[in-house]
Amino acid sequence: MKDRNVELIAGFVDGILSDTEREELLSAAREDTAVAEELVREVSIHRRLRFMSRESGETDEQAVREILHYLRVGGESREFMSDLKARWARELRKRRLWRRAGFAAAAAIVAAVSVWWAAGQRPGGAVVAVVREVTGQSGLKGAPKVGDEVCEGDRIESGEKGAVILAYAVGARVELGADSVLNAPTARSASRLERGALAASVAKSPASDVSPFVMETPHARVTVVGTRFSLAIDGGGGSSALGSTWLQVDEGTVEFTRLADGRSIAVAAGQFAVAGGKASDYALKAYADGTTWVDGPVVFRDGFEEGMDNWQVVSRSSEKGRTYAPASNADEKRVQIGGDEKVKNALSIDVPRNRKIDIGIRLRNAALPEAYMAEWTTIHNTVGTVVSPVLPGVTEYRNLYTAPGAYSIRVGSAHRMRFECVPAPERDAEDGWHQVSTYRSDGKPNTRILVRLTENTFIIEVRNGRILIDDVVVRKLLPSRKIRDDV
Amino acid sequence: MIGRADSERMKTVEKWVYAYQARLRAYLFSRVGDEAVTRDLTQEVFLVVLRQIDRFDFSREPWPWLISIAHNKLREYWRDLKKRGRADALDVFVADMQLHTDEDSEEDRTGEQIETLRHCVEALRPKARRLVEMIYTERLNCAQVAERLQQKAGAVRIAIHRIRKALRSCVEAGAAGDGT
Repeated sequence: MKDRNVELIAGFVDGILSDTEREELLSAAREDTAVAEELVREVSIHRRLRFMSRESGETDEQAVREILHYLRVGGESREFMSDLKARWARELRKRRLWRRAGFAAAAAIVAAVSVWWAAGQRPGGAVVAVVREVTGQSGLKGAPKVGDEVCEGDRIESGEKGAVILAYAVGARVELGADSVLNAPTARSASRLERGALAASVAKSPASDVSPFVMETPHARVTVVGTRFSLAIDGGGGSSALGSTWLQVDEGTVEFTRLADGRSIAVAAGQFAVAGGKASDYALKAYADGTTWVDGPVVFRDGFEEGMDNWQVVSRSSEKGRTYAPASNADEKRVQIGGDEKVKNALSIDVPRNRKIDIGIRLRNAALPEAYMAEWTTIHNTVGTVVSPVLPGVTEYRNLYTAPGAYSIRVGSAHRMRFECVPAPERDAEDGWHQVSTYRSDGKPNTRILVRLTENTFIIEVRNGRILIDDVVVRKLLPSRKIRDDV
Repeated sequence: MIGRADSERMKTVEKWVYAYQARLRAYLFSRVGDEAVTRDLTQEVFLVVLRQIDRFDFSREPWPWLISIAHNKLREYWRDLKKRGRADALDVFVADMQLHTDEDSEEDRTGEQIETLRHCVEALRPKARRLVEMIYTERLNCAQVAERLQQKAGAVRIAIHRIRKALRSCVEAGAAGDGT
């Protein structure tokens, strides 16, 4: 080897080469394998010498042995382990994508959960998500625990009344509803809802080059970047040719593609869309158009009745912003569901143009409580209005009322506060009635309601003002003995 | 059942940390030459282990898995340095060459080699050993050593290069040094 190359290699190891000399050495190493090998070997021995001298720092052989022993089995490993644990804890915290209080409370009230991983369905692969929450009883073989990792291609099944919450590494939170099956994504395929329903919240990344979150069903593909949506499969038993996929968007915009013909539409917040297994099933475009609030008669075609049980007609006052409730007032009795002579199997909504009421449709039983509760965002402010029960048929809430916590209620549409329930003086507290009063920031009374909690129902009687249920965390409502009595 | 409770996986990893972290760190240091980076990369390796331990075949030895993770971490490290303009083409070239060599070898012997190296250094002639001590223990550069020994820096550089070469031969032979 040329002396010049030896000088350059020695200079590289000593860290004194100029840019020109580094380029010269690189060029020599690329041209001559011997130079390259010599360079690499020299760097290796140099670094090992440095490491060795750092370890010992003493010349006494006994001291060196002690230090080595200490390094291998003693305090340094403990310190290392301690740091490692701290970093792992930080990583786990980072994985908790779902941090907003509303979400947390909503998930906390998912109850009676049983979920299991399908045996033998785990092909392995990179970790794509973490099981964030499994509520209720599992007790089934292979039931996951919080913190378990979901790898590429894993299959997750929830039981008949089960639910599981997953935090995806890519920044999405997916709540898998009851009787649902989800396949985790792989390098070549997206997450796939095979059966049932889910609600997803996809964080919007500050980076512009982040790949969108994609979820598929047998009928459709959902592509999103920063949004919240619910997805439900109606019938079909997982067959792409049967049944349909129903999409509801709560925030942002979702690209909804029907797999049968590849047609895509953009579905915005507050809208719904349906995709059937065949191009002729469910007029995707028509449904998308129909998801906007309407004034006047609207007809949805193409076998709407097949999914009729999943939908509900809702209305809102045009003057009161985007708050809506199931259409049940006398003014809305003109709403008709069914076919007419010209269009069979259709939904017809007929609202006089002079009425300031908007009519829409929405999923009757959304996948998860939060989505469901969004339907009931407003209880209108008529004094003495009784809404009973507020959450009809949702018996899964029962555990909510026995768990400690505090109610968090947003008053009106602008205020949000936390309050405690106290026994209502004019009602029999033994019967579960509690009084709730809220006050504005200036101290003036805002809302007074009575709340009755039993095992299966949550009844609110509004005395004045109006309330919007935002999320619910029970601190303590009744002595546990009373709860048991109620049960 | 997939997954392990955090405590279980932490227990296994802790055992591996005690068994392998010194060896792993020695290897990584030999590749990056920086204590802080070495420590960080070693932790990164064990973090990957924590994430993926459920997929590990426990009938196998952990070390080959650890070292393959370490190779990936080293690649990421050099890629990142280059991206941030903190490493030039020569640094990356050397790193790549080392990684190729490491991956070709059946087993990493860094730990044993360091033990052997220690014996090799001890077996050096006093003058050569003194030179090694000045550079690696006292952390003097060649120019400072040259000044202390009243020699030219180039001569010191060549001398230490020859000593390193002799030490390499010694380590590779797996025997005590030749008394350079």
